[in-house]
Amino acid sequence: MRMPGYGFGFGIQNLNGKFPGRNGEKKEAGGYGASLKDDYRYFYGATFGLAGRGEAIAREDNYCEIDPTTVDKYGIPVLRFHYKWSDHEIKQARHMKETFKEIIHAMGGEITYGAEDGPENNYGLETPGRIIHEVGTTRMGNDPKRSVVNSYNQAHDCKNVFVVDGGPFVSQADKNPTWTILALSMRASEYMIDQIKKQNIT
Amino acid sequence: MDRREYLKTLTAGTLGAGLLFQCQPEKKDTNVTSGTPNELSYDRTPEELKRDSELIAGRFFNDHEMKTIATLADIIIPADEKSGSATDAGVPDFINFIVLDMPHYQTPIRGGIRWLDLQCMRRFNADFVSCTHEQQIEMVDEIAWPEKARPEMQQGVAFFNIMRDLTACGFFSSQMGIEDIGYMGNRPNQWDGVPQDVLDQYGLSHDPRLLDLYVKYDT
Repeated sequence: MRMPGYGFGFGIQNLNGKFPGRNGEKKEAGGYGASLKDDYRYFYGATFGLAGRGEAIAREDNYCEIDPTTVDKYGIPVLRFHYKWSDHEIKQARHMKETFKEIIHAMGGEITYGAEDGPENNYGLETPGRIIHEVGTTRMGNDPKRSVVNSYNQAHDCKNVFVVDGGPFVSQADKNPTWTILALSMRASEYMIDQIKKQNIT
Repeated sequence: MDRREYLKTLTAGTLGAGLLFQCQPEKKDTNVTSGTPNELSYDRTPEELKRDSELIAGRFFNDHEMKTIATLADIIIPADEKSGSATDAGVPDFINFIVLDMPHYQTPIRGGIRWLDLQCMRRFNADFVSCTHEQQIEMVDEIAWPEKARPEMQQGVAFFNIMRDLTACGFFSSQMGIEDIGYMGNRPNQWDGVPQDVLDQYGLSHDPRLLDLYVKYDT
């Protein structure tokens, strides 16, 4: 249960009229006084929420490019994104929703919010870009024609350029990318030292 | 104090706000505590402490407005057998603090108080705080029940919703409120050694000298 702080109990009028109270009876939403005070106690810790995160699969037709018509406030062209969900992400969202429902039912809970999501809104899947980590755009791959860096984060086109941020990611993982960035950077560093010793790069 | 944990208000939907580690635009972080500057010195940078102290020393509402807020707060959260009232917990000062910290509340609350006084003047020929308790309750009943309030009372309903929210979170985040609601927080385990019945079973006992040294808790 959360420690009560700013925001605690906000919007109780959306809660205390919807569900039966201590005596098993519904009452009018909102209110004031001793009965309201007890509602806060009654509903405290009685709510439970789940939010899902999934992996957006790598798709070649999802890409960004330099916008030919728009610049930022410094006059630098901005990026323009082309991004669509595929069936895979939508099915992940549906599976999450179904799993959440199962969990809540198994807990003996009542679903109060989010159950209305369905195929018409991709099961609550957010618009691409809504909840993200900024990764990708200089993707990693073995084929210089289809990727920017090799498996050591080294640019195919220029051997002494290494991209060691989130750029080489080919997909949007469901987890925070920092540890993967660190791991890839470590591998790139070891490779770099090795290659410098061999005088393959200067 | 725009920082710290991502906060989503506890509405019917209560998403697991703490689970959102990923970046989500257009959400403001907020963390508010009431108390004296000394109480706030924990984990504050000098700049934060300065701002906190300014907010706590500051005053937005006039005396009449503070009195109205106090009256409403105690109607919303009165004392009962378990704990004191909203004003016992310092809610009016908390609301004054919040509107300085989050200025978007200022006009709705100030305007709401004016609206309330005007309604009471028309009905009872007195402003809200000068009305009798019965008259105040009659007025509050017009605006405290969003789903059955009359259309011409919607302005008051919006105001009362804000007052209900701020009174409740001010009350339940105070020491009195936290004790009332039974929030325990994280507590370390306490191990008092091998239980006595087990010791008895094996005919063993703690060494009294070590017992004093190692099995001792302040609480």
